[in-house]
Amino acid sequence: MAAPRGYVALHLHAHLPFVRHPEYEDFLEEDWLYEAITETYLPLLRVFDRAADEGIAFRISLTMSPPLVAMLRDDLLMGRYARRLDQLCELSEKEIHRTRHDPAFHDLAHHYRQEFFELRRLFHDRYHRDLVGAFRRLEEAGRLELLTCGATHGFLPLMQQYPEAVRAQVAVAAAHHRRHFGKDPAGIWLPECGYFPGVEQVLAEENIRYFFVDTHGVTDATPRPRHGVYAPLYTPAGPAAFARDSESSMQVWSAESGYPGDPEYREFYRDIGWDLDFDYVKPYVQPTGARKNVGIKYFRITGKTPHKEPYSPQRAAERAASHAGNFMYNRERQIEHLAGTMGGTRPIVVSPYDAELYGHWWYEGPQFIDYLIRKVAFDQQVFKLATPGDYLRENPEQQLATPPLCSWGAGGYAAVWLDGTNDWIYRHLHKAAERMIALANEIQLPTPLERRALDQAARELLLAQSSDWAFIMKTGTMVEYAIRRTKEHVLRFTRLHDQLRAHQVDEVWLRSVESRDNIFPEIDHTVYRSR
Amino acid sequence: MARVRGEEAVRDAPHQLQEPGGWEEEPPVPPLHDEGLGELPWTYGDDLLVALPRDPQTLFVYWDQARASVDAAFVGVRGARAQLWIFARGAQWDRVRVVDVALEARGWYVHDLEPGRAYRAELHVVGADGQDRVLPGPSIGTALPPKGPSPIIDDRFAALPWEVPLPKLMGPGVPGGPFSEEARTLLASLSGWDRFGHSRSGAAPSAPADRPTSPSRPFGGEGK
Repeated sequence: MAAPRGYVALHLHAHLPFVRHPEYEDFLEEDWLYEAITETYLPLLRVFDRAADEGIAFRISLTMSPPLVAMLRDDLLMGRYARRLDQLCELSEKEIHRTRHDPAFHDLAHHYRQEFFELRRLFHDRYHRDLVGAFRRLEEAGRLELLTCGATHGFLPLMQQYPEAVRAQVAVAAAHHRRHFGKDPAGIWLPECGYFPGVEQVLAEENIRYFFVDTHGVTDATPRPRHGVYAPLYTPAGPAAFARDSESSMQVWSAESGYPGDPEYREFYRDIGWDLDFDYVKPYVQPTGARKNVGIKYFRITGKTPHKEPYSPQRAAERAASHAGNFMYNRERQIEHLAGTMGGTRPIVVSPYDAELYGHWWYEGPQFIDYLIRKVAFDQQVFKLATPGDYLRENPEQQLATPPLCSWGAGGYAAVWLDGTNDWIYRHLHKAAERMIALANEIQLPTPLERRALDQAARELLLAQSSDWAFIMKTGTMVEYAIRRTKEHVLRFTRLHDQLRAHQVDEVWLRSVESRDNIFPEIDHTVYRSR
Repeated sequence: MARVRGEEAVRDAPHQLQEPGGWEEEPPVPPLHDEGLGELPWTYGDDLLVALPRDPQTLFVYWDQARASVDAAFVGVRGARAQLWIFARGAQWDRVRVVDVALEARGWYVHDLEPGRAYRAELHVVGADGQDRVLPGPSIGTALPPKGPSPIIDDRFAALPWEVPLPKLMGPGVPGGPFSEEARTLLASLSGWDRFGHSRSGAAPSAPADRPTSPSRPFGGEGK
């Protein structure tokens, strides 16, 4: 490839909140993980590994958020997922029988059977139930650049009055990343792209070289950036800020023109868990008898009306290829234009997406990425697919500036996580942070039992801070669960705090909490000490 | 959150998607295993006032006043009412907003503030005769983000070799970070980032520096 005129950075942010309920045999919210493994993580690994096996050059950055890593490395959850996959295989075989006289859907039933059996083979035989290890090998093979995130996806701008709490979110995440991936995280996905001036100091302490902000995080930076969003900025402590390119983002995210809404693509909301006779799907829906998605869907988007036509994987794949070509073509023209206006500086177009968009929401998304990395490798010479780390290695000189407080949420700031539906949580989160800092500062020589209680208190605080809970309260679905999680973690923290203050730690209860909220076994509560 | 954001994106797709009946219903959450955790407290009784930045023009202020503090403030004040006072940092802290509030509300969104300035809040009890008592625990300074492109144009570049770990560049030999002290000072004064590091948990309240309209001198060090 001739020297490229610019770069395209495709970033996938893989994150789910920590949901693990050993106290229940079956828990609906654990489905978030199981669905994402089946529809996103395994399909993406298949795309990446196949391309790597074929020697196709590509570079993509990927967040592996600490809660997601913890869940993917949890024996209980992976055992449950294996059972779920067995159920899907079983159901897909039943579907072949059920549709035997239905030419419109019989081939599709075969498609699902083949897909689920293939995913089961990958999960057990190729990846040995260890998807974290699979992603790590892709990084070691030079295909992926893995990033961390906030320890529990805490929204940092609303935590800034407690720097120790901000530092803990970052430091615990970095340590967790090193533990699972064997190296410093090159970059971080600030939860919700939530940046505030000064947070880069904490990133620099962990040798985190870059982070992402939404478009206005760079366009509104001070001083005004010379190259807009098409070059990163060095923030005062050194980490670079890369901004989302709105043009490429819109091509995927836009409600008006985004690829995932194409009529040929699979219709998300027509799932046989809802469509078929209840007695038939009963073994595969909730134990309470409530229906749910089971992952087999026979219709395509078709149009704006309730009428839906049968889904054709072949036609959808052709459309995914076409969209990949369109995406690449637009980036070529974009890079050519930008390169001509930036005075010798090679532009970078940053396109970040939630990983779960690819596959879970947009079923053909992994295919789109598959086609895209192949087309970029063989069909053009204008840009190269690179990670932000690649860009900084090759372009170490950048402008100095400071972004404003910003996020990628609706409105661009903190309004999603701070409104009438969720603002009640902050007085409790802040109080818990204050207490945690005081405990860490004042109990300098804890007994072994006190140390366990202090470490567990840190886990409970971190889990309470997850931005997912406030987000769910705002969006209005599964609200009861989000409220419950926030309260439970704050209350467990408070009980631990009170027991530590009274020098009366209940070891039996502590053990049960350690067993349930078992994220970050390596945590050291002294991360909360003031400096 | 990825999952729900994706749901929004799909719901907003140009081709409206069918949603089977019952999809919007909240599924039942299994009953809580009773740990005897109780409920969150209504108050911590801290005499606390906290201001949080919501967007460039909106500050959210919440408070948690001890009953005794409130009672003491109201005693002997004729026609007393509670007010939230908002101050903006300029050459000094100037009062820019007064809002009558019910203390029981415990929080208030203050809208239409000027972006890019630092604010702090106080709760007052004010009498009909103008008598004024401030409740304990005023907030520390909180900056709202600026909105729109910066008026400051000052292109300074620096090179950071990838091979050198950032903590090494932040060590005792290089106080403050990888860039020259002059550069850091200027960036800090431009952006107010030096606020970070002052904690509610113990450090004294502080406020961001003023934002100059232009730097007076170029960066030193690595700039080109």
